Amino acid sequence: MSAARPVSERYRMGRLSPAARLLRHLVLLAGATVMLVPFVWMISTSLKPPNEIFSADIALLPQTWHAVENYTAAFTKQPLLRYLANGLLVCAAIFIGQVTFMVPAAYAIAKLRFPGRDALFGIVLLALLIPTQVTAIPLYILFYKIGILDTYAALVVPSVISVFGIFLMRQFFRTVPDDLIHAARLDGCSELAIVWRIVLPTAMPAIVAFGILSLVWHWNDYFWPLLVVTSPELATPPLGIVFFDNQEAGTDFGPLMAGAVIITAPLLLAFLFAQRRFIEGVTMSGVK
Amino acid sequence: MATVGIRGIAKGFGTTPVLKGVSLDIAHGEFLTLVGPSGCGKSTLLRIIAGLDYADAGSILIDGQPVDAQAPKQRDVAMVFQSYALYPYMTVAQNIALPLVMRRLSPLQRLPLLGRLLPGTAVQQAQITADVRTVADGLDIAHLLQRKPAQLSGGQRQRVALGRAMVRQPKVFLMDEPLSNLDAKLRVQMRAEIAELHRRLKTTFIYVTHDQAEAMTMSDRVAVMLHGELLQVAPPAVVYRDPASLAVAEFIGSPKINILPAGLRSDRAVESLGLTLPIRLPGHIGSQIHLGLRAEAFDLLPAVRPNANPGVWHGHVTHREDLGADLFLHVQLEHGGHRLVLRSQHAEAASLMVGSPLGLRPKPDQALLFDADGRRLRPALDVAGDGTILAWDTATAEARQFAGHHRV
Ligand SMILES: Nc1ncnc2c1ncn2[C@@H]1O[C@H](COP(=O)(O)OP(=O)(O)OP(=O)(O)O)[C@@H](O)[C@H]1O
Ligand SMILES: [Mg+2]
Repeated sequence: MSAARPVSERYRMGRLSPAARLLRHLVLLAGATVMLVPFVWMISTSLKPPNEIFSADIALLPQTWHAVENYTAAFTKQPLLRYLANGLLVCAAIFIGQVTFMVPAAYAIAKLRFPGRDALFGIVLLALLIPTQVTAIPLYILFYKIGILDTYAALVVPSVISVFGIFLMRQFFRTVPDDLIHAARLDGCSELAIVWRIVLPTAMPAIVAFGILSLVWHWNDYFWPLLVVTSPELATPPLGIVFFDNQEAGTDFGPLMAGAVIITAPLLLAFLFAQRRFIEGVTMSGVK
Repeated sequence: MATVGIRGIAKGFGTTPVLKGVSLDIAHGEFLTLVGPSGCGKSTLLRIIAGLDYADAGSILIDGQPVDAQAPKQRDVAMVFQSYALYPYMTVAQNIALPLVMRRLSPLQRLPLLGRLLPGTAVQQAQITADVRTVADGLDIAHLLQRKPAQLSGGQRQRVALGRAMVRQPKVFLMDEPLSNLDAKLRVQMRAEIAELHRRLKTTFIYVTHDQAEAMTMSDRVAVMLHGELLQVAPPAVVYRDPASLAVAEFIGSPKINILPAGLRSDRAVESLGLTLPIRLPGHIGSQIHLGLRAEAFDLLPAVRPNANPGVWHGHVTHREDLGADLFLHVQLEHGGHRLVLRSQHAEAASLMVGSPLGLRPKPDQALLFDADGRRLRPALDVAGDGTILAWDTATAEARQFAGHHRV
């Protein structure tokens, strides 16, 4: 890999003129700036005292540092730790549920032969096209009828079956050699033992990749928690942040931004950590 | 030890028939090799025996009992795959131990942490570790037990795959081209080791290969398969010297058998390319037949004037292959431009270079005859009532030697 890449890259680069290369970098730079500015602004604001936040001139760094006050306020004005814990609990429960359902389902669709398998996979593909908003109202009514609105279950249950996860895993399991599964069957493994002992470990890179996506999506999800949760002690981080907004004294942007920084940080950390494992996984499977 | 019965197994994928009614009986402790060209259905048959695939028709018996309704793990057969199919993220020790873990420990005992606390688990685990160790010692891979398959060479992986198959002492071993990924030298060594393993374990082996050297050197019997049908099942020497059909003769033997057009002039004379062989074949006068001559079925003669001697073919050397022990001469005949490959001795071929003329006389007793459809034609033996053969000149030596061997 390392031997082949520089050559092909040089080849590709060589066909672009320096001007075109410069242009390409400028476009990428502009894109990155657009993506990053809100984050930079969020961090910058979280360090400023209230009077500087709305001052007319643009400054990245505050004249008087207000970081300690803002961050202390973020933790004390609202039970931010509680929100973080809720987020962690909900995301972990969702992820465990997703893996529990998607791995066996994907294995069955990828490797078992049974009537209706292709139709089933067609349904999975179809379900990929349905946005969550479409099912929100029926689910809300259902949860209301069975009385689990405003519980952790209401936050977790709708997400534990991920058709995207089933699809992703199915694509991955297709590449697992049949012989490996045949060997496991002869060695006495049941189908479930094959799923958890043999097939799942080979799919670790895909699971990690999916885990990142799942975490980002559900950690940041605002729409569904807003719909089903009313008690503040069940609030997930994005929902909790909004409570900074509802104070009678008006919005306190310093602590609000500090809170936003704090709830974004775990995602960044998780991503950086998983990214390394992810790349490891990919290169390991590449060596074979 | 077990017998395996294969009864009329048929299998198709979609509309293409892959196996067309294969029947075969394999004895206790026999080493049977299934050979055939790529795509003839060998792996499919093996998978059906193992229970990994279903047959459309027919039945598999193990020890006389039909096992068609049994899952693979109940059949107590082990298989070594062409790709080895080692579990990539388990160590060698875990790979070999898995069949024992799945059989000897209960589902609860297999749980990652809790299982260790259950009564009996520790004893069982110790026994499994000891058994794995014994097998690893036997295969000379004990020093590799903590490695992952990716850290092993091809030959070592192959041994691990053998170990995983051996460890639970199955009734039947199925091997699907286990040596095809190894280099030539290692293949010869592993060939000997697997044959030795078979002698030691005395288990029934069904061994699939498309390498006829493996088939010839290792097996008690060879089953030659072509297009989903068994053409002949016999000991290796018989398959080589007394093939049942043209297809078998062409598939078995390296270099490939020389096939020449021939006709019958009389009951006692086969004529090919202007040369008459004294072979007695009643009842085929006038029909077009095939004359098969192995590379060693020729006498080399000094070159003489063409047509001077009607009992000799004339030709010239087009290529010399000196393999050390063997010397193969590729010869083009003057008559019809047919090309032959013959095996010769260094001494007699010393003066023969590319382009040298030479004379050839086929040995009539080693000639194999086939009819236009490729069926074997056997020369008539003049056999007296007590079994002594009277007319030596008309019988092939091999037919004499192996008359009485059963064939399919
Ligand atoms: N799952 C499948 N679906 C469709 N066709 C198949 C399938 N498996 C095997 N075949 C076909 O069946 C035929 C026999 O395959 P098989 O693997 O048994 O051949 P083989 O004798 O083992 O060949 P090789 O020596 O190359 O391993 C081939 O023509 C193959 O294309
Ligand atoms: Mg095969």
